[in-house]
Amino acid sequence: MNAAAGVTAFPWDEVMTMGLGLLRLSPKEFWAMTPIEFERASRPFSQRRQTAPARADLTKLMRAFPDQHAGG
Amino acid sequence: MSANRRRGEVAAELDGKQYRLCLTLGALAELESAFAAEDIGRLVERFSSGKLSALDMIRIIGAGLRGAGEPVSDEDVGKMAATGGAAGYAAIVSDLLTTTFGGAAEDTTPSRP
Repeated sequence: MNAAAGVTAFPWDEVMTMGLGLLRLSPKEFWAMTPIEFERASRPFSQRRQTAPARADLTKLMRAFPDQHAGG
Repeated sequence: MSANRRRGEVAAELDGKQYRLCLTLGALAELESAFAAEDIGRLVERFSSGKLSALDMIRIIGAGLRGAGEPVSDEDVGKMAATGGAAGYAAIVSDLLTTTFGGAAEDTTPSRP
């Protein structure tokens, strides 16, 4: 049962805003969805899923696109 | 009748009949109303620590059946016998909660070395 032990209060406000407001689901469709389906449907729009670039990524970018020194 | 576990459905036998259960958002909202003082998180916690009464479990199973489209009342569910009695009820509730909330955390993509 430890898989479900990490469940916190269900964020109804955010979920309803995302589902009805952003995903434009009808209330009927929305209320018939399971949390798994909802999580997958909203994932592309979810801010929390986007991680900041790692240092290695930045280093790679800096090497690929070095600063241009005008008149150098 | 097989359950679509990817969606969060589980199969269970009650009164010798196969049923599908799933906690939809509507079913979860309904459960929160039934347990007025508790949200779903608290309910799951209470189940994890073995503090759910038989009536609590009947409510959860009822919500799961209705979520899957079965028109039953909690009273109907209370009259249904699960294989193994109270332990059978607990097993259904455990499966349902784990699949509903644990399934989202399951990652089926092979991990890269």
